[in-house]
Amino acid sequence: MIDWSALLLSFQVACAGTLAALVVGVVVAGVLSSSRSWARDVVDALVTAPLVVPPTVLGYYLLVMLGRNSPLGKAFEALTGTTIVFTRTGVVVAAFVGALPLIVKSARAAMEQVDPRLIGAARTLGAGPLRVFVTVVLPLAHSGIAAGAALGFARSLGDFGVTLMIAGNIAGLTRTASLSIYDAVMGGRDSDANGLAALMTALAIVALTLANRLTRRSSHDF
Amino acid sequence: MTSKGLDVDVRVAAREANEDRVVVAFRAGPGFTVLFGPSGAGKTTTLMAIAGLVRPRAGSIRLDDTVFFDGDAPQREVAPHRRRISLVFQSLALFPHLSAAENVAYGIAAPRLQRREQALSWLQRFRVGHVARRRPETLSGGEGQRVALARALAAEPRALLLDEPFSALDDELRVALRDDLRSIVDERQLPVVFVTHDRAEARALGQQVVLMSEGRVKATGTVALLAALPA
Repeated sequence: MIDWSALLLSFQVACAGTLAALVVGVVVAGVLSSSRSWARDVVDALVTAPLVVPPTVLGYYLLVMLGRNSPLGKAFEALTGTTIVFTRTGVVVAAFVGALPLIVKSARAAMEQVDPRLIGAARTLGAGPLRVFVTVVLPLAHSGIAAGAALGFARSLGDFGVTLMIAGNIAGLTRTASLSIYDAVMGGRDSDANGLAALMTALAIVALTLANRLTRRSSHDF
Repeated sequence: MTSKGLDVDVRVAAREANEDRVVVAFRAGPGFTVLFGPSGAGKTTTLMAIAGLVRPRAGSIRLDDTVFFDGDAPQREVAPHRRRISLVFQSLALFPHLSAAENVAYGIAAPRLQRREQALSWLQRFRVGHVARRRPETLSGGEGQRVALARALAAEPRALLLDEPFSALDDELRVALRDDLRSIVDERQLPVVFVTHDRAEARALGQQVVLMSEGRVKATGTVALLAALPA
């Protein structure tokens, strides 16, 4: 039988993680695309590292950074009464970390494509950097940003390694669709694995198609 | 002592080479000053420096009694959005996601309703009131240029910079638009720096002419300078 609760959890977590990554990612991309500082390459490398660092390594770092004994973990527990690790919050963190680099990359590329003369025109018409960002850069880069969000959603939907490291594999609590497929295969329940795998593939293809369409639209805008 | 008009005396470095790409000094009082020269002479770079979009390596830029840039105190540079100098790009740079009226309203500092009214009246003044709701991509070359000029003037600038704004127009439209612009400039005693490589245009508008070539000022004077140039 297909583990619908795991699929629903994956979906919810991917939505929450992508939304958070969208907010942070757009700000980071905006700073990166307008900055000329040497620190820009360092920040870019840090933000995109999750694309190339092994998920277990990334998960381990997060576990150390956000665990119950870490300053961040302690602060979160003091504020909310629950921990980040081995809870749904941890699953959302894993989704966030997976989606962020894709959103930053895509949003930054879209923002850098905005004609600098439009930005210059806005500046000479009295708009400060923030107003230019909100009224010119964001509206003109929105397709690229949305494409990044769709890619980030697809990526975070299927996360396995990071989720396992920081949230574990707790049935009904942190067991996402990817973890449930792993369980089904290990337990010899191939038909369960097949059904869930097919659904996950379908969802990923829908998200990728959406991302492609949005990317095409953003390159048509200019 | 202060004097009315724009005082420009700047050196702009080339992006990569360790030399000055543009070295230019001139004064632009109320009315039209034409920067005349072939493409690559540094005319656009000069406009960008005056607007604050390119930072000079040295020199100074003043308008009336305001110092926008002083190479001896570059940290006190005035940001482009605080200079109140409007620049009309050769490409017009109309915001593609906004209507003509929204483009014109962009630089107007007033409550929303008044902004819309003022934008419409600027469009009418440039005889393009009928395109208010249209997006830039649907405008003809002449309409786009009128909208861009309306947008630049609606921001109530203290000086106006124009980078070959009439280049895409046929002669009849060009003369009409030139006359419209001249009446507004005269009425407001606005310093206008007008870039062109078209001699007839320079002669028609220029009260003062700055001849540029290869990043340097070759001569300054009246339109009579142009007559002495080899064709």
